[in-house]
Amino acid sequence: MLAFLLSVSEERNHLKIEYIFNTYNSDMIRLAKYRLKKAGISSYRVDAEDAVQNAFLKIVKYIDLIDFNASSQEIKAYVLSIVSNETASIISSYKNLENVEEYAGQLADTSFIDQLQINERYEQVVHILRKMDDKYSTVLLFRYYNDMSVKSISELIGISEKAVYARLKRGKKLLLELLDKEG
Amino acid sequence: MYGDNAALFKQALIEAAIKKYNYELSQCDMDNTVSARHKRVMRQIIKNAQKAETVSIGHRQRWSNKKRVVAVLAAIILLLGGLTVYAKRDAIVSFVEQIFEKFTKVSYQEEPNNETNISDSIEQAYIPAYIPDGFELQDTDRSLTTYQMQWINLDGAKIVFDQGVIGATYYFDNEHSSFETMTVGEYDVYSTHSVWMHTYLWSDESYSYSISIYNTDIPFEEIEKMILSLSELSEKE
Repeated sequence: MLAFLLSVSEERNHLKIEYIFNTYNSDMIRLAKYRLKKAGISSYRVDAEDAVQNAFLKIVKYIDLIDFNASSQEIKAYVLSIVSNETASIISSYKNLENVEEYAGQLADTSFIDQLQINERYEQVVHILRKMDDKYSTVLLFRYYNDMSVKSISELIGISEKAVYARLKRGKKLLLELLDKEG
Repeated sequence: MYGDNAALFKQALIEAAIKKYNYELSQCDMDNTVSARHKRVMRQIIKNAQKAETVSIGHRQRWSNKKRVVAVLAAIILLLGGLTVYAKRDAIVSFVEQIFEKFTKVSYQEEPNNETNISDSIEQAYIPAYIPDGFELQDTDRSLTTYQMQWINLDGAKIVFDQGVIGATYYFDNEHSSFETMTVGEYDVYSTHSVWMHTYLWSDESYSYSISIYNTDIPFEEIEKMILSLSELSEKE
């Protein structure tokens, strides 16, 4: 069939947005409540709703980053990573934790990937990433899995580009240190 | 070699994230209840994400003269191109399907010369009396022009039932969707299917209805039972 030509990239996105909301909204709110209550925030119910709203706004803004051919679990992990960052921001604001991060150069990707020796230590890498502070594991996820630029990551999670660089550097270093420690 | 290792690292990152959040959610004793305010905010966020000229589900679309001209021109162009705009004419309500490059737009429209006054609001809510085994009611939501119920099962699959006023417009992504029509009882049902969602649309002379299934494949016999079990919602429920 022929078709009436329109610029409609935004039209398809709203279906994706509705899909994200209908499918993951429940887990988003549960995770946010859980993290905030665990952090001792007495107003965790209200703050969890704020975290999910902010997370959703960011998901909408970067909807094109989501690969809808990926599995439901992979999309869920991405969505919950954003919620995780929002709850971390709220917790930081309550505890008056400042984002003091130093930026002092980067471990080049080729060197980092080589040092991982991941084909020999895959399970250990997964194990360490699971245990790693979200502060580092989520920026690594957004950078290496979602192929986001540092600028996009900084906008997504609301920290400076220097802080993103610092977390990437620290995250890579931590991963390698823990891998060597576990032998 | 670098490419293979980089791909493995990418895989490790997502696997770790999936395992971390699944474990946390399995340990989490939090419910998913939210305030009415949160529901309103989330609906507004979703609505704002749509283009200004689109009509969200449940709102009656009043076709301006300009839109009528555009629609007629579209139909003429398509017909001259050897296409047809599929329209099924009911005495009161007509179904209109418009296929564009990236999406398909369907709507139930009131016939221009209809002498029956179709309601602008949900005066009587309906619900499917039959729901497949394993699904529990999770949420209901009602506004002036929409009524929605959601059920989920232990595997995270979801069924969403929507009732809307005549004039509601639905959009479906062409790239990931296939379309078909079928008859269920007295209803002509229009369905769309994608990897993540199956939707079934139909109407009567008063309202439009949809059932959407997420993250699972439910046999069509079960969908038929749901559609045919549509019953008036008692005000006590």
